[in-house]
Amino acid sequence: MMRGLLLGAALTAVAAAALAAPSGYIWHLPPGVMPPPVPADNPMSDAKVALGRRLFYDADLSIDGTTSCGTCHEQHRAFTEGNASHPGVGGVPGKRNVMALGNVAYFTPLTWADPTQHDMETQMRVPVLGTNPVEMGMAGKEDELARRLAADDCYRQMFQGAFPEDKGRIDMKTVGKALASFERTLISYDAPYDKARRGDASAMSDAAHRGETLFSSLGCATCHSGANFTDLKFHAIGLYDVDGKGGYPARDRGLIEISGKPSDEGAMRTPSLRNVALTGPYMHDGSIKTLPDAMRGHAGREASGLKTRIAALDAGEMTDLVAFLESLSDRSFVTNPDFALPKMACGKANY
Amino acid sequence: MNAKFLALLAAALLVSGSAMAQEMREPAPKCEAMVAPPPALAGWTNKSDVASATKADGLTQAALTIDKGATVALHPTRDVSYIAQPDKPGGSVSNGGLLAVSIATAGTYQINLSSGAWIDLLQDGKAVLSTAHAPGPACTGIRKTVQFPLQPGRYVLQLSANAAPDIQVMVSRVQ
Repeated sequence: MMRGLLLGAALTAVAAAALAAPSGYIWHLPPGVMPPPVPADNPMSDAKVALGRRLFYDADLSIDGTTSCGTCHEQHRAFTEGNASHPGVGGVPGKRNVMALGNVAYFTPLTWADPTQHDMETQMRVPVLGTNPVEMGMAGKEDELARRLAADDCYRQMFQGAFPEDKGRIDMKTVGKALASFERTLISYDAPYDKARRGDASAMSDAAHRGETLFSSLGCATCHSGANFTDLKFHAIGLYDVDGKGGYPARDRGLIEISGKPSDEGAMRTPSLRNVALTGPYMHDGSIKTLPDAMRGHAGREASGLKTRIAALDAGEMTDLVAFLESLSDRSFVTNPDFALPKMACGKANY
Repeated sequence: MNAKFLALLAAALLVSGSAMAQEMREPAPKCEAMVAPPPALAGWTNKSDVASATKADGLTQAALTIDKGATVALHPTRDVSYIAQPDKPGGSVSNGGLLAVSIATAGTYQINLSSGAWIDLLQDGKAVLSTAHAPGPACTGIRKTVQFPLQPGRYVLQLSANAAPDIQVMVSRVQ
């Protein structure tokens, strides 16, 4: 009887989780999670997701064939990496810490400090073609990228299957659409925190529950708000003060570099805290290695007062806060084989 | 919270497989002049030429000598048949190859590379877990080092995602 009840509950959950998009694409989502927004001109399809996954891990998207999206966005680190920043091709120093990709389909704007980046289909141009800093080094080499991909029989098949309306055209536009389709599947709502909210009383430890309460009472949830623990707004948290006026180092001054507004000095988009225990080092420049130090790094300006409250925490309270943040780690997300480097392509070994 | 998962993940992140243990990349330092490597890496100074293999049955002609540096000729990635899928494969315009490594005495060994190429050290087709990784000594030409605890036996060193068609490599005994 109990087994039957459990099975029935499971089927109900599955039924609730498998949502068909207008395109016919089936989203497999935890109960209560709605599919992310998808642009009308790039409907989801299994063919696009498979193509985007292969492209994500293909180092031919870099000028010298050494760097793929997956080089910096590593699944076991929730699609970040362990460096403060990652050098671009040829050893060019990186600028910012690699942002996590979990639930990125729900985020706008994208990236740390560029309010113009709303479109996942075109955001890939920043790492692939960008020059500030150089990451994958393909600026001006868009035709070369298409040539490399078109030289592969399997890619030609995959582009044809993904973009029949474009006759399988291979260019930056279709590459961007495929990458965006794969990245929209990177959904992470199965952490102990989520399980607890779905009714599993044992999913979170007592310490994590205490930490959750502290997280709210301290005011962390003011910016790290909502289901993804980000308000998607730009804030200066006072990580640096090089001039006594809240100035940031010249190497990276945040939103002011785009807006030109003095009030945007040091402002960065609030990062999601999903899987945050796996995504260190922290801050926009990866300058802080641990979660307690990252919390203490919220020093001033808009975070004014938070520093004092965090400094007043005793060791046990800090442990509880860390336990709460660890409860946002989603095991199924970082081990899901559907998100990993594909071993096969077109029925053959992909190496 | 699933403490076991966190513990396993922490172990994976801190001390882990050959794939995970190579992530700490840093820009190469600017050097006004090259310097000699420390005595433990003295074999790096004089290198022999070794042609890497493109597939497993060519490994007998592609052997490295412990504590002796080699300038290794690589092959276009599309021509290399890897024994196991590299964790970070190179693109078609990159270069890679296979090398044989024979270990006679158990101990910790360090693979020294002149570039940030990806390496997988295999035994019986499976990746050996590495235990440490670091940039090489500044301005010696050693860009990257990865350490492995090895038992006597035959290993295959897979090199992938190298920009240049050659790379300098040395397997050195640490202890």
